[in-house]
Amino acid sequence: MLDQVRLQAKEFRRIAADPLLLTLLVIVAGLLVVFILFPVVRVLTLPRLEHWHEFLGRPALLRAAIHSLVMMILSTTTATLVGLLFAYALVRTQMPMKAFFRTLTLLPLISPPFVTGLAFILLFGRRGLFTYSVLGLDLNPYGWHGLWMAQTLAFFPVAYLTIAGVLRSIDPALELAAQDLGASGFQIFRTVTLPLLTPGIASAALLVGIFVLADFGNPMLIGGNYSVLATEAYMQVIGRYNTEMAALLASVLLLPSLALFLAQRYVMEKRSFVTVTGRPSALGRKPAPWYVTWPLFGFCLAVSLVILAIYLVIVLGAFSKVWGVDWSLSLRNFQYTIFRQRDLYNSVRFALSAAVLTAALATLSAYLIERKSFLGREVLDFFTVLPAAVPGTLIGIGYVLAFNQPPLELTGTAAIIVLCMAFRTLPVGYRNAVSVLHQIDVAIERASEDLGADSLRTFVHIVLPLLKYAFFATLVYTFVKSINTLSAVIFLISPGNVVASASILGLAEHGYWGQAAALATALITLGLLSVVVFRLIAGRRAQLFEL
Amino acid sequence: MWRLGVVCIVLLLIAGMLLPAQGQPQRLMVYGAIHETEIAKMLEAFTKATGIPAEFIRGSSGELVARIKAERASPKADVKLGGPADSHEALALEGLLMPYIPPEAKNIDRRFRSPLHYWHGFYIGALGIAINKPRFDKELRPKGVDYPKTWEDLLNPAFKGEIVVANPATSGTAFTFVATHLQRLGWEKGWEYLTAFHKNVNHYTRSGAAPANMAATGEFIIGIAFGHDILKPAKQGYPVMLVYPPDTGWEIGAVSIIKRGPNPEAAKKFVNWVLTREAGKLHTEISLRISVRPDVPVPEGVIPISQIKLLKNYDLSWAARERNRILAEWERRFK
Repeated sequence: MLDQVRLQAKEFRRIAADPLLLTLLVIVAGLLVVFILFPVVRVLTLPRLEHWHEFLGRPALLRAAIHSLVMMILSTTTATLVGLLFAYALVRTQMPMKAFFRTLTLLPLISPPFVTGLAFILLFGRRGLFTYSVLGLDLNPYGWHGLWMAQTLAFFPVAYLTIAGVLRSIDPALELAAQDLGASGFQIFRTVTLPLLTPGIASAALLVGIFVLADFGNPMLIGGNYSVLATEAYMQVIGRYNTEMAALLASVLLLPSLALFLAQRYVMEKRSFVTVTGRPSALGRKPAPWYVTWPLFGFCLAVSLVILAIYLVIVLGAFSKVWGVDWSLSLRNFQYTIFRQRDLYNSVRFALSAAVLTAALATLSAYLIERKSFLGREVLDFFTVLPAAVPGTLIGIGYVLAFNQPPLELTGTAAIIVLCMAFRTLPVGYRNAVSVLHQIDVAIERASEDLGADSLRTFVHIVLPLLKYAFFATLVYTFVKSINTLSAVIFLISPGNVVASASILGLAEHGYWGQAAALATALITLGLLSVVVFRLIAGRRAQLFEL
Repeated sequence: MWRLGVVCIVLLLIAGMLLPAQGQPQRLMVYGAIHETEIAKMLEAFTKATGIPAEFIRGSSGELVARIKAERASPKADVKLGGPADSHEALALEGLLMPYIPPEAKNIDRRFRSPLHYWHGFYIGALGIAINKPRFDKELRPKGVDYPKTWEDLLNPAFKGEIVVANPATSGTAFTFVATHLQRLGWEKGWEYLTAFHKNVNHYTRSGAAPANMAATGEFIIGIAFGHDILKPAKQGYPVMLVYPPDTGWEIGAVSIIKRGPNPEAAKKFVNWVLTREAGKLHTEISLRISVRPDVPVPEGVIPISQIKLLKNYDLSWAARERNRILAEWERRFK
């Protein structure tokens, strides 16, 4: 106890003796307060009691809240289940075509989420390529069932990545012990693997839940009359000019989202006590038997084919003359893309700037929070990861409210869009950097400091080189997520600062599906390209899209 | 070396981000409610004619009104281009518009402008019914159902789940549709009509032109939209048919100047330019709408306004004043 106090005192002296460190600390904390805390507080404090009364008296709004929860439970359940099956199939069996499956699960992560919704209309809509032209069916995808399917496909990769990560880290010794004691394959799965996997599954489900709750594009495109909170908040702003009600709806949305987020943090922290046992073991497991492998293979193949169909149909839609009427190939839709290349250029420009900002800030704050001890360290850590829990709709409204007047008047500028993109992806970059720092012994930095280097010198010469791949991964992640982001940015675009994702939604909503598909194809290509470049440079030395 | 490289990239990017914002000449900022390509082409012509560069974002009329209201403290745009006159009237009532008498106003019939010159109409549109012909002929004709010709025809139960129309909260088109029936039949009877109509509606879209395109692709058999939005896909080759029912609602598409916008002089020039014959001709040709100027020819394939039976006493300012009450009632009944 006394030792700890002495240690703390020593750390304080260390910081006080290092004005640069103090300055950096103040800058990071200041940025977090201004660009995360302040907008959120602005939204939460805007609605007054009378607005809550109005909310409770408008059944349409209450229904949207219930729809949000129902959709979250439905989509999370199915997405997690699909993700679990994929993870088991790809990690534990020896099925063919694994690389193909892995690549396809990546696609929904690097493309705008509403692409699934758009492709759904093109494939399974009333005049859908598949349902109507091939099967002769006349299905109506608009509504909860279409949305459910689209969300499942859009977000199961998140579950897959999380569960696969945990599955890989389970020590085979435990399963081998069960095997030696005579347990059957299913018994092992049920009594050993599954319990060890439960925190991973829970964590995956909670993450997916946050994504589904906040998603905006898909409900907008195929929700039909099934309105959810994220879209309803937007409608309140644009249709009724009712910012207070929009802020209220966004606040209502924050509650379950924050609960899921805290639960996920709790689960993940607990998990680390269970699996930290694992030294890499040379022992091999018995591969899964054929009657497990092949049904799983069939399942993965079916899901992958649907994903493939989704992306093919977008490309096909982009290149066909008049969707559903004239299938001849044409570049006409791309004329519009070229005509509005500014939007695409803006997306790239803003996303690049955001990527640099996020990577720099994430690295810096991870270093400060992970390596230095100071008063309020936990608080700072919490605010750095908080944006992961805040729905984009709330951030968007919050930025408008917080920055539409002096001293920080940013609405109408490109800066507000860049900042919004940067702070929304900060949690992932921060976690990337922290996980790398965990693996580096503090002694190296201490040695540098004891030899007389100040913390800047240590940071630049010791920490940064060790973090460069994490830094790079964050750059690419932020770039890809930012060119695709919509829910927050849609509130912030202004003349001259329109981004492609917003144009796509506008075009798709008008029923200009060919042009929307052409622009979406361009965005997806950009996303794919940046991931390929990342892999070429970093190889397997850093993780990307391992949430 | 590596670190130096990163630092350079960072600086370059930041510079790239900031430079255009500072070196920009005075640009006209436009909030446009007509289709993106149309706004872009009109601004291109405007820049060519006057040398003033212009930027825009496109949004539905309601969206833009909301933005202009939200930016009341420091307006970010100079003009609102397009969208029904009642949305401009709503802004004028809030004191957010700047009155201006452009020289070209003398060529515009006084019915088509705000009496106090807050806004000026530059096109007229009438609500129509879009019908997907192949689907109608295949699925409904054999059941003995004829093409709908009047608003009442749309209540036929045969159309259940096959009609799309936009949400009046977000779309000027749909708001005109709702207001038309409330004025045509009166408040009580009007809501009765809309309630019966609601039974046939599949869902309400956000944008007003979407139903026309959905009927064009055959997603749905019937869509309600402005006539010009229905003619556009028809011209592209979609098998969609346009019917103007008698007593149909109409809009004046207007342009107005936002008070205390960043560039009022450019805004004045723009409004005057939009009202010229050349601009009218360009806009009519690309949009298939009907110009308010009698000297602008009606494009081929477009039905002249004289042959459409418009609702006689459609009152724009009533619609603007009652907007909140109408939308609240609509939400109570149909959401």
